[in-house]
Amino acid sequence: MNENMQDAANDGLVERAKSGQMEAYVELVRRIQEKIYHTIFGMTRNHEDADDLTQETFMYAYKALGSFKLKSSFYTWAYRIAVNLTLNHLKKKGREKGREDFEDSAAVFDRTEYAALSPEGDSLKKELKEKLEEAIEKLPPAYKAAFNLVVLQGMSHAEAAKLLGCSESTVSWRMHKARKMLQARLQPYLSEV
Amino acid sequence: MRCRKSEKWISDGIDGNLAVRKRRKLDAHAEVCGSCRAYRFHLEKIQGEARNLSEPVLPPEYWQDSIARLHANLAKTGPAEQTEFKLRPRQAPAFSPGLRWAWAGAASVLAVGLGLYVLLFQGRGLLETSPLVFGDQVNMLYEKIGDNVDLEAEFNSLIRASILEEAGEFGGEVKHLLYGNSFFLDSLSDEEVQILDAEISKVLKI
Repeated sequence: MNENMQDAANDGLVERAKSGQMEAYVELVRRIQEKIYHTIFGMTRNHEDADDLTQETFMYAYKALGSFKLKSSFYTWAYRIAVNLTLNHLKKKGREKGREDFEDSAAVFDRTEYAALSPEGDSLKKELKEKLEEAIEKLPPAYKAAFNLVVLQGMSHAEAAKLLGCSESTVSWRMHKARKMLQARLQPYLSEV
Repeated sequence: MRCRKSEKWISDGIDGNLAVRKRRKLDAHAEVCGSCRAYRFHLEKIQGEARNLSEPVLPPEYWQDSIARLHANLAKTGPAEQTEFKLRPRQAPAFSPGLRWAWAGAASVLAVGLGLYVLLFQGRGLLETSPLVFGDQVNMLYEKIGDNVDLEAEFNSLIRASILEEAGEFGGEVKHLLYGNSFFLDSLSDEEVQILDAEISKVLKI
């Protein structure tokens, strides 16, 4: 089923869900829950958090269903709720502290440490992967959201901007800054040209 | 072309968000700049690795259980409510009203500085305006703002307001001021420049 047909089918379900048919709402959720979960997981890198936030997203969406005007697909609408709830969650968890630590540690890397930490071959690749997960985890929430949507979900700046409620230009800046932070953190694990 | 600008373009390029004209300039710069070549290589490597990051593969039972839990929770809450829902509730600004005025002052100083620079040192006309002083100062301010997104949004709006203010002062020539300033051309998308141009034209009725 193409996207338009899917939306049309969903619209019928949304109308039924809005009129109080819980089964219709559950069917809507069933269709998109995996995508929503993976979006949240991409931002939290933690299964428990992703699980809780996925549930919270669908509870929140259900309560707010009356305000859904069908201007976008149900999926897009739920996606925005998921991204916003996850951003709030990350802020609440005080990840800003982690980011400050990260920036400090990235700033003090010098060439000596670079040489001492430079691993080789497969172990370098494995280590890079682990460090990349850590570094993404420590990005500020807004940067992490943009990075997740653009890199992990493969969205364009325009699509990510729509979901994040900001301009394309802001997404572009956040991507630039997120990448600079990641590059600074991962430099010891990235082999030279 | 400066490396700081090049780094932003490399990021845009990886996301497929770089105009052909800029891509050519970037490629030409990378030809002669080893550090930008290395930076691009690093970002491409990060991009490749990030796309291969593992995600949990959850069994069908997990999704069934998830639906069952949701069902149970929904049953407790009753029918969907008809309340208005705001996706992004306005958060308190990350800086005090006093600091807001300080930023407004800083933007005004920048705007006045740009005006004076143009008038005093660019006697050959607005079309030949150099972006160096203004662009450097703005870049420095962006660095100070760091990752404070609220402050960044506020600053962007102040910059925009300053341009419109300049529009009033320079009359129709502001279009040339805008297009002659590579900082704006480089930091804004083509679409944004067009929008800005249209708004300025609307204000000036040109």
